[in-house]
Amino acid sequence: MLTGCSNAEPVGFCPADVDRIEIFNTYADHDAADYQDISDVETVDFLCQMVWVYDSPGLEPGSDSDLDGVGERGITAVVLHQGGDIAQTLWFYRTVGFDTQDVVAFDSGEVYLVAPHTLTYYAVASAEVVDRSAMPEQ
Amino acid sequence: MVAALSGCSPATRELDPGFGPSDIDYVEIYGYDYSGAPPEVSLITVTDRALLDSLGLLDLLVDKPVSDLDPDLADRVVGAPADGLRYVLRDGTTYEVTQVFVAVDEVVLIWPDGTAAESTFGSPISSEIEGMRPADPEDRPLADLP
Repeated sequence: MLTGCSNAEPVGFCPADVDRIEIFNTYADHDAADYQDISDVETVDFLCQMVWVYDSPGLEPGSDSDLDGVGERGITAVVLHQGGDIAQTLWFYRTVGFDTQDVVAFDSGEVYLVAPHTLTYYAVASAEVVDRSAMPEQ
Repeated sequence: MVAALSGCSPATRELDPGFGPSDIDYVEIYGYDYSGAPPEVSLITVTDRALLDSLGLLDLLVDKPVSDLDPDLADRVVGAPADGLRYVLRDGTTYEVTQVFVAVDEVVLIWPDGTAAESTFGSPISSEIEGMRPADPEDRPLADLP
């Protein structure tokens, strides 16, 4: 795992015209998850056009091997909606170790590495506790 | 060269408390000046997730780098500001640890079973937060050094 400086350019996670974001967060193999359903335009735009673009370093290309051993720490699934359809789902995996990069997996199969703790927004809002089974599986 | 270096600094390991932010219901913070029997202890219970997040409590312990406690550092804990943390998890279980802030970059962690470690990461919370109220010292997480 790489840590520290990166030459990657800021890259967002959202496709165009996202109008609803669902965020699930759980830990390792635990049975419950935090759930947020965000559909107000201001917050969606704030996340898609600000937080996940300018507040995070860019994605660095990874590979399937980066997914080996993930799932022992925090797992965040983000479902991006667009006009009533799911436009994209991605999973952030916190990896074992201090200051190690997170692994991001897109439903397209692409895998990237990103600075640690990039996706923290879920934590600062109230969240509903749901059963882990409600969380999309990669 | 490696052998020489390894003798100069304690081996660092990372904590795995076994829970993450999504497991936390609330956190009780007991503040006091460390001793085996502190006469005065204050308490605040933090339930607001935004406050828990801003205080750094949600992932404070996950993969926190620690090393074996240096006896010289252990000798300096008495009187230092301490935060006794009781994490109350959503499954009803609790996790307790006390952090004693001896100096910048010198934090001693003590668990109720008497195990201890040191870390260069951490800063006092109870002395910086408003709303602490008097509490029974007996209610604080146990933090007796061996």
